[in-house]
Amino acid sequence: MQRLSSNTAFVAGILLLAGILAAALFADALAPHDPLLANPSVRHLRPFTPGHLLGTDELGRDIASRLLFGARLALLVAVVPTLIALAVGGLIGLAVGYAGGAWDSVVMRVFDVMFAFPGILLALGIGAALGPGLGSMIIAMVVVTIPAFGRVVRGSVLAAKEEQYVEAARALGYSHWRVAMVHILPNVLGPIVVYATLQTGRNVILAASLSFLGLGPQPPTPDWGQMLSTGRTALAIAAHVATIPGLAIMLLAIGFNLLGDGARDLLDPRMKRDQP
Amino acid sequence: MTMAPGRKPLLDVRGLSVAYGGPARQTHVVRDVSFSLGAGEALGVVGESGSGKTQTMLAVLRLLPRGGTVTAGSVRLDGCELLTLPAGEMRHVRGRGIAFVSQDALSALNPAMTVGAQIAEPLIFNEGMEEAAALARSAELLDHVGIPGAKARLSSYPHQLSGGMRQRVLIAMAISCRPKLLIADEPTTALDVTIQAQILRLIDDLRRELNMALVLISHDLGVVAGVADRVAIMYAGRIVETASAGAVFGHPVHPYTSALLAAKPRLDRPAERALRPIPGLPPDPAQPPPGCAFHPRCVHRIARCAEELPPLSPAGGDRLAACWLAGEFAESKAAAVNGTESNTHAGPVIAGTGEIAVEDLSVRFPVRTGVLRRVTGTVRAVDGVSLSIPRGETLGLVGESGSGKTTTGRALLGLAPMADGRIRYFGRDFAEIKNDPGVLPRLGQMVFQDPYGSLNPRMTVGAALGEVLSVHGLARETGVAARVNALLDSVGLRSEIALKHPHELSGGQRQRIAIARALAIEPRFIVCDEVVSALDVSIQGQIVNLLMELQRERGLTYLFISHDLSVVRHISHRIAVMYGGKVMETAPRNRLFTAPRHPYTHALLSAVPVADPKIERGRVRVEPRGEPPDPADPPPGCRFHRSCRFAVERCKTETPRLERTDDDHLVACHRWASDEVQTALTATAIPVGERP
Repeated sequence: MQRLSSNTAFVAGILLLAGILAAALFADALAPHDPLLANPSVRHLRPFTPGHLLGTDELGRDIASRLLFGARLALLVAVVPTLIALAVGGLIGLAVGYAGGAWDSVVMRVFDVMFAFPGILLALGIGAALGPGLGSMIIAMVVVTIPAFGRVVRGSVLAAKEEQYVEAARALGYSHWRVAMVHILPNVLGPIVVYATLQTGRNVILAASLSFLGLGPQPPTPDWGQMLSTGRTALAIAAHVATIPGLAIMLLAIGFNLLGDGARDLLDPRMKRDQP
Repeated sequence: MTMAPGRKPLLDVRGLSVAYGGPARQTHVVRDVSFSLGAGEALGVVGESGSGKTQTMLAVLRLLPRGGTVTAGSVRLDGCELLTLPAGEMRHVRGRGIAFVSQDALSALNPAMTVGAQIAEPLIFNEGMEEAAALARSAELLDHVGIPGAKARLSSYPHQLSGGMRQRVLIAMAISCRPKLLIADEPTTALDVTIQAQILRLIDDLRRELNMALVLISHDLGVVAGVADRVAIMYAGRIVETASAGAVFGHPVHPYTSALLAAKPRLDRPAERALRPIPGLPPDPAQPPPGCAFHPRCVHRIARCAEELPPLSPAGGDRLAACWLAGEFAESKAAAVNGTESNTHAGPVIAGTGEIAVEDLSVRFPVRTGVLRRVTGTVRAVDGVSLSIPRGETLGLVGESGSGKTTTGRALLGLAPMADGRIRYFGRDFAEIKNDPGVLPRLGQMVFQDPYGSLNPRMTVGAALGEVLSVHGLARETGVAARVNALLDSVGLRSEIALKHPHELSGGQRQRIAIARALAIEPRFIVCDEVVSALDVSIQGQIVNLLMELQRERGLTYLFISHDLSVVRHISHRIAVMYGGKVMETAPRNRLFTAPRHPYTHALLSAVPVADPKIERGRVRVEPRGEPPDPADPPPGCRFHRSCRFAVERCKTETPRLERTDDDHLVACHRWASDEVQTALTATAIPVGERP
């Protein structure tokens, strides 16, 4: 517990993410306006205008309200693809890492091919094939990130497979399923949890980029990437319309990165207090 | 510690204490240690892990890891206080004043620098030599430490050298600036016994030649016996006894010293002599017991021992001992040994043919290279091995690293792929039972070398033992806890341990758990792979005794794999010697040690250190030439011919078969019967004790 609280990055990440989560959960209560309500009479109001703390956008909608409701989507598209890719990629990695041989080679070469495409390009292709929308965006993100999860898990499994307790389990006549799920998996979770947290941070950016390119939720749904995209047109006259969602995206990504870095330090035995 | 009168000490350490952690939660690992060392003198420091022997020397070098601080004391080298020396000057003391050789030569050398550049570095930095001159001197140094083709080796990288060669390189670096004192911390612990003998002799020769003082740190009393003039025994951060080597080994005064000497089986004593392990565990440095730290494990303790710390005080001659009863022990014979006596084998069990029979077993591993992972070669880890173990007996399998002994054990349990050969298990064919899940584990089990690695770190002891029982359907839900308790009891552990995780246990406790886990299925055969080599000497005996007790109670059959010949001799009925994937010789236990027939066995036995300076100094060592063969490219003919001093043309081409020399003694050598070999092997007989 003491090590937990003395890890500044971890605590800062937790606080930042807790703030954003609270904003998303209590958006109904916190938002001063309807995020969808357009009011052409108050377009491009500056921040700190009375009644509109963060100003209004090109349709006169309250930016603060849209930001609060947008936090829900932002968290969703960061966390859900991570969880799905972790489960699918992780199981693939565990299976081929444990089995080894031809299956391992084939799956790793497929992952290599997927790695060869720039992630955003691959996601755009998948999104274009499936048509825009929240669902296809999540599918695209999952497909793009599966190889990385598969690799990380496979690497850890390869190392854990050589541990003596795994050989001991085999000598005791345990089934492959039991050896993989009970003796290997729990011992490789540490680095995978760290990687998943950091990947969630990267997913924030990836989701915002896809949404910026028009692949994500369609207007008028409040979405940070889309807000950035529409605000771009008025950069010269009202820079805050694009800057504010941009900052929100940055804070969310930083939050996950801090959490991931902190978790890595906490889980890495080498970072433990020096002992003789 | 006293010194020869009239000489000024080279190194004088007074009241040194080392602690870790902040002032609030300080843990002392070295407590009030004082000793001195004259020029050219050799001091052996012996202690188990956590005794503070390495920490003391790191404090002398001012190389304590982060978090460690010297809390009291002084360290003087030639009268100059080192603890307050500016860091820049201290750097020059290391190297020119004191040099250090560490245990792990692979991690002590920089993998990205050539050997030549690494040896030249201190010469350039400390002595201000030009690069060309430094490299020339490096070649001289490599030659000096016995590396063949020294000049060519300068451009080698550490990974291209064998373990013994790397240790020689470290020694070359250490002596490069002609230090006055060499501190060697377990310099041979990671090495095979024949290589260990070579390195110890090198260190001893260099010390005499360069008139260096030497501090040799070791957990092995035998290693120290051959080299040290004086010995200091450490326990729980303090020196408990120090005297000349002859006095410490011949007539120990401190009960811990006597117990340590008695805990380890010795080649120069009859194997039937009981092993007497020290009861209990070494103390936790954070919470040492009050008074004398050894008192909870000491059979001689009196009330005063638990209350007052005995000072290190004169106990006759040049001896200092920290024990309230030292006076009495010094006058009488040595302090009688602690602990309970263990019985050894009451003789071979009546048994017919081998219950475990191995014929021509071969295990090969493919070597894959390149992007396509094509098979480009084969490692013949085990190459035509035949063994047989009668029921209820122990076969000791000895050999150096890479000899194939562990792979043989693994193949017997189906953990390594068998390429050729036949195994019969209690009358059943291995190929038949291998594919029948659940049968093999119930017949044969394994206990592994590393007690820290063989238990799943995420499972409690109870869960790990319960898992075996439930997977094999050996206990119903309700009966599991009771069975777990019974298993723990059978290996001498209390039932509370079931709730603990492996990291909360000591090495000895973990090894007991690993044994309990293997026993859970009630197998008939257990492969013990180096089960005591990771444990402290005082604990090794406990585990060996436990294994022997279990064998007597349950009629278990063991394959006991070890590189430690004295332990193997103690526990085995028969012994097989492996070299380069082949069995060189098998014989009944005492026979092998008193009348070896194979030149390799002979060389191996002559390299084992004995904890008696008188014997150690008078010994003639037979050193095999060169390095063991590469299993990926074994030499034709006899695997040992390149290192054998008796090899003839025939040995280079024709592989000798294991043949029966007389009753129960088998040897694989073309020349065992020749007069030359027979005379040589008898002439340099090893001081192996046997009951008359």
